[in-house]
Amino acid sequence: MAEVLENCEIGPGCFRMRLADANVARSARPGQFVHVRLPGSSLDPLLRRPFSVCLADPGEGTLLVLYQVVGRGTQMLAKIRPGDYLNVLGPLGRGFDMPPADGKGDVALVAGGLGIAPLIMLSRDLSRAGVGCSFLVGGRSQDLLVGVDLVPCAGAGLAATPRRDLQVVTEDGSIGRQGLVTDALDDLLRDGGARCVYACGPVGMLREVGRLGEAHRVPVQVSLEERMACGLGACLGCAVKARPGRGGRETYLRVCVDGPVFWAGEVDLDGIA
Amino acid sequence: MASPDLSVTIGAIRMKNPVMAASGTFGFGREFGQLFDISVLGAVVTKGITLEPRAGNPPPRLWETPCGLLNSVGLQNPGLEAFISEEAPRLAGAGVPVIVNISGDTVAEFCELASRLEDVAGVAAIEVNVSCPNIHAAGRPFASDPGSVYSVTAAVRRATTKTLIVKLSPNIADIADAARAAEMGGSDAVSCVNTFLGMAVDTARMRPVFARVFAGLSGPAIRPLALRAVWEAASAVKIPVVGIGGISSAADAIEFLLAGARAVAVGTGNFVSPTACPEVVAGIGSYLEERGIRFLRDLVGRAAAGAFADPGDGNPHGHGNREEPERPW
Repeated sequence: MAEVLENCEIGPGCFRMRLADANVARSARPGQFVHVRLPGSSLDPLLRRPFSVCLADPGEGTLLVLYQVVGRGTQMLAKIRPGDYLNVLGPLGRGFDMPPADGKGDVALVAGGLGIAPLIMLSRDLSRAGVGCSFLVGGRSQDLLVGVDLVPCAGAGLAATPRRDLQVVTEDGSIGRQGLVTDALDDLLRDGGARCVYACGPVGMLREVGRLGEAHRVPVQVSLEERMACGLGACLGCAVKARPGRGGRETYLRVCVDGPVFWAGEVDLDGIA
Repeated sequence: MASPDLSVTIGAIRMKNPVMAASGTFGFGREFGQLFDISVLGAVVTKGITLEPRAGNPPPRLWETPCGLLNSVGLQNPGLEAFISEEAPRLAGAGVPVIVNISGDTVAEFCELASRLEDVAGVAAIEVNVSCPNIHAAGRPFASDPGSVYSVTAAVRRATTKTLIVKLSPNIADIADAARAAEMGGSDAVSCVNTFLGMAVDTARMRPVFARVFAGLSGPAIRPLALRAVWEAASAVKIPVVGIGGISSAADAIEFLLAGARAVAVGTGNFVSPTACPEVVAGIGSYLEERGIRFLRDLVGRAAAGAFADPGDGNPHGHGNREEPERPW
């Protein structure tokens, strides 16, 4: 059982939860997730909920997750108080592949909304590995841009984003560049500003990132979501269609163990609702 | 008091306890085997396999309902050959009886699956999934009609000497009829029940959630329904009944045992708590110990004592058979 250390609203319906779990904190890699059972041995909602690890601190034995209240499960989660305990299974899944160490140049991170969560830990590990990255963060409006303050070295908040490589894009232009985060990515790739792209966000955004990656011949990794039951690879519930390989036979991949991070070329992003 | 004897027998399978992992919720034991030693289980039932590999249904495959789960996985599996070469050798050394769940569209496919599994090491039993559509009966599932249950059971019985279990569907007018059909066809046991057919509509898209519209409901939501089916089946046949449906705790499992199930399987409960199976085993042991009951088999069907005429027919584990029924099909 993991103690909840903090569970605070950081935007409209968006929460940041800090958990004490030494095992997850020690072994989680960027892009992996934890499968959380709702409080009180709940049978309704029945299933666990998967959350990307946003940051893990092995020294403190803690981890952060970000979530948005979208249904009954997350409503219940939002009512959890510090000092309560949650059953946490993890870390699970295949995380991001770090760029080859001998490569030259920066990489790009593209976040849409809460999709920023796994990219925060990735950006930390990339900095530690000495890989430069451009972090493009998109959202509908300023109040929905959450978690940006967690990006290492991004300064105290949105008002002060001294990091030249952090770019904020909002659809309504309430802060940063107005438009879609993929417009910013297109510009970046046109300038040859990234040798590899990591993306997490709504599937429409991921499709566009995948398309841009192909157009600019830059490899893309995407972190996907799908309704999930066991989280371990046994139930085959969280299937996504694989890109047809040779022979063209239809096959499915499991988001929980084959992902949640995939190379864009592995999955049929057009086939995801 | 010595620790209670949890062992039970299903056909020729001697199980150290009555707890199985249900088909389709446990893969081939690989994933859960990383979390606990699966040899603590009474038996493992594999993901359903078919002659050829199947890709399964397009997503979404899952939809949560109050205390329940609708699924439309669509029998995604690697096929018989891959099972035999890649899964069976490992399972044979897992220290637990392995029950292979098979699915086919025709009686001939079921028979071919059973006969090709006959000599595979480590396969203790065959569980016949009669819930799949019978392509010779306008796509209606074998399970929906006792006559089809009888024909597929009798044919598979001739194709295998292994212990045979027929997994019954609750989507039928009278599950007792289906249980009798399986018994007359020569099955060694029946498992009750497979998922209940349900559906969901996505109000945002104004369309059914699932591409195939209907999906199978499982989880605690179906437990009282499954329990009734187990009671009815156990009342109707002499062969043992494996109780399945919403079991996620020892208390749930004990309910099924008392209602007449000789063994139980945990299905959707494995998703909620990956260690549900070993927890159920331990909890059943404590229950017996607290009550000074030495043998689990003394629990089986106990809730039905007096509910039916004294069987007096050498059937201590079911409720006894009422009159020998005529075949209604």
